[in-house]
Amino acid sequence: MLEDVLVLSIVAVTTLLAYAVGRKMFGRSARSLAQAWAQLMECVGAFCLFLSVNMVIGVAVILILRATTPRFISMYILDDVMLIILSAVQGLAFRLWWRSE
Amino acid sequence: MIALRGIGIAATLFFVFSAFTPFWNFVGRRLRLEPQLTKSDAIVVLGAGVLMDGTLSHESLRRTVHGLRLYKRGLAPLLVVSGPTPRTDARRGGLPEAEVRKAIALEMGIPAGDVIAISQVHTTRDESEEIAARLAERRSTTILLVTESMHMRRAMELFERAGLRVFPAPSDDFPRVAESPESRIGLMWRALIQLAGVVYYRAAGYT
Repeated sequence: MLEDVLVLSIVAVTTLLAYAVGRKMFGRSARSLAQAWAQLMECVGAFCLFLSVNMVIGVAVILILRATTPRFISMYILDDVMLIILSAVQGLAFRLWWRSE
Repeated sequence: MIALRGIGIAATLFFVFSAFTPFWNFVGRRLRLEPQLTKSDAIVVLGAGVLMDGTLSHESLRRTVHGLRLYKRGLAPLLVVSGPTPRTDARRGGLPEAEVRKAIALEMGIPAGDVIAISQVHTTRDESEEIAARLAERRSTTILLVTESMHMRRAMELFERAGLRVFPAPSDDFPRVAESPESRIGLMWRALIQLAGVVYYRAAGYT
């Protein structure tokens, strides 16, 4: 599909350009790039964990509130992009904190 | 940290795979049900949200339009529209989604006697039970069910469990038309939400 190829191609080109700039102009090594990718993956992993925990807690809280109060709360409240964004912030902050000591 | 790295790699690969391959289109096509636009006793349009100013959400509007078109084609003599008032909107005097939809139906020329608005419901299960009870009063037993394609299977099970014969009339065909990376991620999210709903309803004994 054109959309798939175009998006991937744009990202591939800018990635290669950034790599070339980093290597040639700023003298960065390929090894340090590999380390940066590993750290990025750790951040993504932390984000996934926080998102999963937030969702599980959210579902549990809603079920408890439904069972114990007359108030109805929809599960679709958890279908909010802010939960994803905040979980990403949590994951990043946690990873940076963990590595700072 | 090794474990976190592994989770991150797996998640990234999953995200890229989901966005740039037709995997979720394939899954979606397996989950959705083909439309069966058969003459029925009623067309039932499930709720999908209303804003505080009385504007239907995108999904709600899509379903409403689809239901109106089915009625105009003469597939059923009765249109049932559902949808509650969000609690905060009720305090501010907001209209239930069902009443907003009914008002639109009347503006489109549908006689008031051919439209029923069901607003005292919060979940699909509530909708199935309440609507089945209201239709039983009219001795209506068959319905054309209008909801989004990913939601249809779970909704249909509930309405059949409530005693109705259900013909699916999905208001979209996202598994077929989701072709951009963003729309495939949206399709993946919808499919995962509905799969979670199926698991929850099975665990709770609702289906």
